[in-house]
Amino acid sequence: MSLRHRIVLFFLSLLIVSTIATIGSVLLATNNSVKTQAQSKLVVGKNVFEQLLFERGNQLLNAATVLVADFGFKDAITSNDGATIKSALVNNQERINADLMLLITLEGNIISSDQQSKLDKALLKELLILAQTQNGTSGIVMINEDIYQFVMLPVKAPVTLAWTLIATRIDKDFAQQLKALTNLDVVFKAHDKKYKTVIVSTIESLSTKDNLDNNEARLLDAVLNDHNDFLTLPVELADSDFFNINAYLNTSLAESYLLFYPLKVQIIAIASITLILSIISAFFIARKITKPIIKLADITKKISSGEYGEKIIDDHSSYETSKLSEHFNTMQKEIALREERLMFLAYNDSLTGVANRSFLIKQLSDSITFKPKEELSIIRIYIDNFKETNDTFGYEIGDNLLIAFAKVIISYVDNIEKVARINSAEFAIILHGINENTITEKLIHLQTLLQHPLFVDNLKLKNHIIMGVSFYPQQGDEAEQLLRRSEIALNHAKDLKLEYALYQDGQDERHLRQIDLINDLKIALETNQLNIHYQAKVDLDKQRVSQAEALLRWTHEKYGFVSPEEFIQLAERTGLMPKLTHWVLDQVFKQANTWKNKGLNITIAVNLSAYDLVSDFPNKIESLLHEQQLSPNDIMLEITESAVMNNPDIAIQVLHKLKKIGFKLSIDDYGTGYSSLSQLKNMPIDELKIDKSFVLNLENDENDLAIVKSTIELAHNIGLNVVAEGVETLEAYGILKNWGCNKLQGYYISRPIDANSFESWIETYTLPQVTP
Amino acid sequence: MLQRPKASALCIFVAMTISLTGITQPIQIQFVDQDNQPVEFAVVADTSVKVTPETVSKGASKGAGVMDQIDMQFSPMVIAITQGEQVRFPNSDNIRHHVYSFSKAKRFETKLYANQPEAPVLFDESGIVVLGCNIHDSMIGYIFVSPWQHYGISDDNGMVTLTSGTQPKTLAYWHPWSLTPNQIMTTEVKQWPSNGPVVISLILNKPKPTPAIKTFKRRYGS
Repeated sequence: MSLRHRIVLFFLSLLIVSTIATIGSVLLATNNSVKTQAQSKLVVGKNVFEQLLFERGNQLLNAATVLVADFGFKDAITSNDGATIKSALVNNQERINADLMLLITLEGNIISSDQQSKLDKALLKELLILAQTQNGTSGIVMINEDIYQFVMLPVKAPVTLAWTLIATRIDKDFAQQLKALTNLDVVFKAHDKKYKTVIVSTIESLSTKDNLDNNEARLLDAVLNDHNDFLTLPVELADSDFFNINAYLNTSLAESYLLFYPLKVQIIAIASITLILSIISAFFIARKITKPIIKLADITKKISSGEYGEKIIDDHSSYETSKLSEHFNTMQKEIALREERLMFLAYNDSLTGVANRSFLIKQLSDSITFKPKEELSIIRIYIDNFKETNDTFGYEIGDNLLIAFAKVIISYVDNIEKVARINSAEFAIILHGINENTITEKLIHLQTLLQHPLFVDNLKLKNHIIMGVSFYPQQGDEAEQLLRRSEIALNHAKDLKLEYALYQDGQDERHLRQIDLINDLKIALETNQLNIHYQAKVDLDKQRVSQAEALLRWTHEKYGFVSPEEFIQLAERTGLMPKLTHWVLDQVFKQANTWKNKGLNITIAVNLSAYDLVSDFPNKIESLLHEQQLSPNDIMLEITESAVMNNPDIAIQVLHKLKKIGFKLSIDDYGTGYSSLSQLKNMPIDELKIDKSFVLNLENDENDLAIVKSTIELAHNIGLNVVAEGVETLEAYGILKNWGCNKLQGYYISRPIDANSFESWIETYTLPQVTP
Repeated sequence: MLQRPKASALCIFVAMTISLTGITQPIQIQFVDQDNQPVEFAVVADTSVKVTPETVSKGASKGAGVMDQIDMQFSPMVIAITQGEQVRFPNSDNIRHHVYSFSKAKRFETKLYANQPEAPVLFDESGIVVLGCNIHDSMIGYIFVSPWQHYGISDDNGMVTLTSGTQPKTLAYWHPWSLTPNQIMTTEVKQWPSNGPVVISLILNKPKPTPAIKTFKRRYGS
């Protein structure tokens, strides 16, 4: 979640909570207020109600008092004429706007303005008692099915002649008047045994006097008992043996709530608007806070991708962001400077100031990417004699030579970026627009230029250079690949001692195969993919198979059979040789031990590489020998001529040591190298092994015949045995035997075979019969 | 005003022994109330001699009874007249009065007047006539129109003396505050006392000065 969202969310939550709380408390307060107001309204209403009822009663009383004192009225009711009396009652009743008027004589006869109204005897008695004690009475009664306010007064002339009861009905109209004045709904409920319940109400659905249906009954119940949305205040009007009359003042809370509805709507609206505005503000504030951060994040991203140009413009939004911007700008500058320095170090040769390998590759890549159509030549220049110069004149001169040499190259290429120093004495340049057809001239020119003697510290130094070239696009479209191919070409030139070489298609594949083999050879050593075959040697003097040459065999899972020449050369170049030698010696010595124990009298010949001829080798091989409880006589060591010649001094020392241990030594591949007889004479060797190239076609080649014959004679003259290998025919076998060659080896006798096969082979082998 | 009689234990029974003496002299009747207090304004009549039509017409010529009005009161409160007599209603107050009666025995009114109305009023029916003043409700007066020749009104000692010379068997009596103020009651005197009055006990309901109700009662019931 982003910071901005967090900030907004935080404010949003806070606001929602506070808004809900506000609205909640307002609604609660409103509801409480509604109730409180309703209650106080009820209390006030009740006072008004009672006062109104009282006033109406008083009005009635006053009117009735005046009426009963009226002389004419008295005159009429004492007339003894029923009809007259009744008409007087009706008339006076109308005059004072009463609803009922009864005349009760002292004898208890009742004359009524309304023939229907019957007054219960017991009630009348009660009324008379009340009236007599207080000279009149008043109140609210239930007569028949109506509720009345009544006054009962004596008619005096001047003693009491009769009683009159004057009443006004409490009807719906009156209830409505009360409602209009109290602003409350009014329900009068009268109940007596005879008439059951009478209800006079301002509530429309409760105005009926007849049986209420369920809904009305429920409503009535709610109204009378404070249920639901009604708030009710009961007022007791009458409680006697005959009836109970109560008034219920009530107000519908729903209506009161409705009054507050606009307020609630307004509050909710205000809260909502506040909320929305606050959210928008929160967004803006959050944006204001996060904007510099986002900006910084963008710039950081640009910095990480190497763009340092963008300056952060301080918008002075806050002190913190100002500081941050300032530091960011400083940091950006520092990073740019540091990177420039690092870049220089990373891409330049510190000695000569030209590019290094990485930069050259970059240049090459850029050129390929941006000008893919342009032809390029990648030339590797190797100072062949630099090591000698260094050795002769010291590193300082060597370094100065390289500096001077680099300047010459730069002057030729005319662009320092296209020149790189790859190795200590190796440079590479990129030439544009040069292909295989136009390169020769350039190379000859370079050759001349660079081999021109250089004056370094007053020394005149002449350089011999070798060059290798690869071409874009013909020989690859990747910088690394092109550079590697130029190196392959250079190595090719070195190997063949050429002035220069152009990369030939397929060289790289060989190169890659070699890399594969180097890698796999290590694995093969560890996983025993290598095995050793044995090729028999026949001892012509002893007329038996006396020796076997151990030959390393490697079947590669991808390349199949890999010749020992190829992989041993690779092992020599990659420093794997000691490991390989150790493995071979270990295997061979074990085998020798096995055969010795089996009574097989076979000396095993092992080939040593030039790299084995190091000073500590004799000790190693001696300890291995002891491990297998072998004597040096059980083993013969074969060393190639070239191996010795590589570093004759040390090699000869090592050979002496080996000889001293007791090993028989043989010079392998004799005739292919440049060894001189004088050197051979100094070597502690026992045997010469004529290279098979002289033997394979011996019977058909007179030169070979001459060489081999003279070699045998020569060797014998200096006391060396001679072995011929590559014997493939009976003729060759015969010739060599006749010439006194001591041992023979070749397909005619046996191919190299594994140890088990060798054992079976030797059991059945018989020497060929040769006639001298 | 009222003097309590010393012979508070007197009764009709005692009086009867006195009548045996056969002495003819004025008879005396005393009225007491339920508290044995003398009762003024009780009317008693000897029922043995009724008024004849001749005496009625004679009485009319005889003159008039007087019911004065003093200090907004009928004075005296009760008068007794013989059937057929006239009554004058002089007004001694310096305000006017409107004397009326709705009684069966005599319905009449004398509209507002001062000093003396134009003519006395003739009471030719016997019975109780209750007098009022239409403008002064507190004024109540009574006229006992007697159908008998001999009658009298008790004084403040409750004493009435009748001079008819006979000892009637039946006495009629009446008092405005009795429980039945519209009825004239009778009592039989079995034996007249030789000495002292015949005592008649009355149960009176003296009207209390109860004011008329002035305000409406808010609540009905106990």
